[in-house]
Amino acid sequence: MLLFSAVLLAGCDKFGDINVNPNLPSKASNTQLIANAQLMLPVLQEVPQGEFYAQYLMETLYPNLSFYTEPSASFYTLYNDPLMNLETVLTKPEILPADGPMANQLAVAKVLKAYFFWHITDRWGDVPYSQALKGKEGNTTPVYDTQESIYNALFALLTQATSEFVAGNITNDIIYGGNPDRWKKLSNTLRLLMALRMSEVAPDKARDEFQKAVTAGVMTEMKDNLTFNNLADANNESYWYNQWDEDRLGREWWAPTELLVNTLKAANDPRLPVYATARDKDGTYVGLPYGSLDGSTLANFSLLGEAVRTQNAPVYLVTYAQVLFALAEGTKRGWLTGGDAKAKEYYDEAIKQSLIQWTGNNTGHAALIAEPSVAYTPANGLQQIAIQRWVHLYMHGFEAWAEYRRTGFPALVTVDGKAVPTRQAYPADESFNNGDNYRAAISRQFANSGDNPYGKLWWDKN
Amino acid sequence: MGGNAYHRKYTYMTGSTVGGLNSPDYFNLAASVDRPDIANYILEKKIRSMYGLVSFGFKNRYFLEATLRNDNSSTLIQGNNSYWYPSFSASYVFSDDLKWKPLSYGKLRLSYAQAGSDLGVYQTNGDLAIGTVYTLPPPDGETVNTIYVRDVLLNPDIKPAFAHSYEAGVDLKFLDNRLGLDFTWYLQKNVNQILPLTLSSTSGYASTIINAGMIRNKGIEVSLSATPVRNSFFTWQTLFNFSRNRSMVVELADNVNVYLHDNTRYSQVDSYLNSYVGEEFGSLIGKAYQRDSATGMILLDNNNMPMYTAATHNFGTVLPDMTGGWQNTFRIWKFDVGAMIDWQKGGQFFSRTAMLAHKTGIAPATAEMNDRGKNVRDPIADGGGVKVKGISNSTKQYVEAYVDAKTYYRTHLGTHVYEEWLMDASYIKLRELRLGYTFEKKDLGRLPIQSINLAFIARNPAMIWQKAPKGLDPSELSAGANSISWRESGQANTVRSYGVNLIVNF
Repeated sequence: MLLFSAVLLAGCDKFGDINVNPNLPSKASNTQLIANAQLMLPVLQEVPQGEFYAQYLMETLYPNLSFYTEPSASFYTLYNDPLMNLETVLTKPEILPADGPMANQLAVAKVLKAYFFWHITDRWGDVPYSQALKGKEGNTTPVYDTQESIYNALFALLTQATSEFVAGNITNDIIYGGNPDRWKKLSNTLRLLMALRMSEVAPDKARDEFQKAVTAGVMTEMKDNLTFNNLADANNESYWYNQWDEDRLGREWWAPTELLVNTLKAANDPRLPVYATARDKDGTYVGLPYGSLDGSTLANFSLLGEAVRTQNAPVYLVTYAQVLFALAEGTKRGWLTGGDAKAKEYYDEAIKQSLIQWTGNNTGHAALIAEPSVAYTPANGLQQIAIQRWVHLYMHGFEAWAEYRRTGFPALVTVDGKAVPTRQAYPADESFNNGDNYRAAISRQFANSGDNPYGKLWWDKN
Repeated sequence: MGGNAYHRKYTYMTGSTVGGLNSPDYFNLAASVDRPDIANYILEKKIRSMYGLVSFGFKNRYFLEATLRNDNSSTLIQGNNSYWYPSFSASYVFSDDLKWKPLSYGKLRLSYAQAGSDLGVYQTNGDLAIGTVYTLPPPDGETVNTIYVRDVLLNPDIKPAFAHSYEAGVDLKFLDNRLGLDFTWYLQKNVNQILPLTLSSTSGYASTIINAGMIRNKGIEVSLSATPVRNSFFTWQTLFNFSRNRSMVVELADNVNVYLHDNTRYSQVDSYLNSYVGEEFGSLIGKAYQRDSATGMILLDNNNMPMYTAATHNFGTVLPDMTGGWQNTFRIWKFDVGAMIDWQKGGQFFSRTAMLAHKTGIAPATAEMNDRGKNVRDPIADGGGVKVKGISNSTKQYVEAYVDAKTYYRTHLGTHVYEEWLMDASYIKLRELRLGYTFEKKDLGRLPIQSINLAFIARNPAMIWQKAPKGLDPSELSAGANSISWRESGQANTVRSYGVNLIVNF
């Protein structure tokens, strides 16, 4: 009887294709994966915590994070979402020439990978890089690489990408419509900005990389900007719109800080009405002091500017004006020729491009660069460049915070006795999921002070 | 002997508008302002089984039963998808052999069973998923259909999971079944249990599925029953039972020592429910007070506010020490009265309701009088403020001070210090009260009915005692999809309900 049944069962374990999931796609083109990674670009900026680290905004109704109470943040989504997409393109690309030259597909993925990793290391410090994203190959506990080695690897990656671009657009490109020239300029611009970041820790290397980037060709016009355009579509709308608008969450939770508003007012800056609203009380512009608990009376303060929170508000990530500020600083430091005269030229042009970006035209530019608080003077050149850069980078909190840590300007305030943190602490679940490497990275960087939000990053040397 | 062919097919299609309706009161998918959310889904699974059962009885005292089953499941990879599992159970009714008058029935039982289980559908393939669609603005107008790599690391090597259960027990009844004692000891080893495992996302994946080495569950169950009074007018039956269960993760996988069951995040602060290898199941992890290592007192910062740790402090297991019940039924003439009590000793849970009540200033403690006779919300200069006691972190001296109530409750305790909102889950609850009346045949005249029983039932009539503060119900912690209850968040009020029950016997 049992023998008979055993025979019957012989073919019993074959089920064919029934367990192949019909609800998911089995193929993806490289450009589709890259496009999905691009959808995560707004997340690099649309985060309230970034605004608090740069002290652009202060909380009005429920002050909590602005008091630097939560030192840690998680990089998990950045790794398992856009970076994993990009890594898949780089390691297992689908050969689809119909999407544009393969070389460009891969080069674009490299540039985006470098951009995301640069953002991550500038926020947290040492993070997994060389062993990261290899879960499928069996490494689920990657080692944390030093920030210096990550910077070196990213320079190499970007330099390689720059040299690989060929003519021919790729499809599905949300940012540049597939134009390889703009991607190439972005790649070199990233090298430029990363080089500048090293100005205090490794000035010689910084100068070399800076010069190489300029030679290779950085951004030359606003159309080269890395901007993510939100859409007037609930599937792709601005985070700030989603938070603020009364048709969504209705949270009027942020006001520009007193430091920002006063800096703009002192110079009659045309960007003020874009950055902030006039306060309900009397139509003037009054910023909320950072660390103040008075924000709950909304009528007394200017609130987050309307232009920043429309449904399709653009997210400015890497801009031409930013490049001009970098060139101004590089010239002031003597890395490029021309001295203070050339530095002033770049500086003035940077402010002009910033006005065009934020207000749509350069009305008031001449008056602005003549204002005493803005006019370039050789004695204070670096400080002025830093402060005007901070004004331009409005809403890109994490980038402004990185530049503040590097230059020390503008003079941000302490709150509850706490200074602005110098990094974000690692996500607490790393201590469970990758405990040994997490602990090794902490003791290597910060000795006995633990996962310290006041620990200094490698390039933060002042 | 028998066989079974199981075929499950499930499909659904859903659609919802996004961004509003393009015409008022036009409730149709075509009304979607932005691209609507549409999904269709199909699930198909087959299991083919064969089984046999054999049972023996000898002299009406010795009994032995054995079964064997083979399952073939479509959800595992061929080669790993056919599994056999047996079970044996034996019992010996020794009361007839013992011939001891007070013992009216006695049985010893032993069993060993294996149960195999497979995986949910589609877990061995499918690494891509459809992402958001982005429409480029004019003049381009191109629709970009994005796809992403899913953050689940697929594991095609999954094997079936097996549970090995051992059980031994004795059932005793004394004095003509007036007194009973049942005792069971059990041990269950779950080998190769199929578990989702959280990964460090730096690997590119947030989770995977593994066959976990071994998870062990053991415990005892005891029940005592008695009929202290039994006569034609009044009968009282009582049943008291308790059980104690201990679970432990003995082994997970190579290099893996932690299993994350669940986590929650609020205001950027996390708490977790983890199980660690070698420790009791279900440890609650979250932010705790920082304490002085010598005295155990809370450390205070330079503003005299309590200091707190990162979200890595282990508060110990959430599982109870013992659970049980006590049931009493009384029959008084034709009335039957029943009361059922549920109880639990030990266990803990995290209460978000308590935390938010204090954070938002609704809880009475946030507006009480301090020991200077002033309301804690009054300015400190006027004598108000919450009194804190602890060791100053900078001077290492003992400090007693008054701090601003709003900052204390809102920004510190109510957002970060989860230790303050951990509650003991012990309780004694009256679950059900019942009052019934039986109409017997002779009362019912000519109707072709044997009997009718009409009863009024009250469910959850009262919580007799609980350790957690009033307003929280530790017996109704909803675990959702989780197997362990460890927290409540805006728990709905427990409802007391009344009903009528009618049983008609034909």
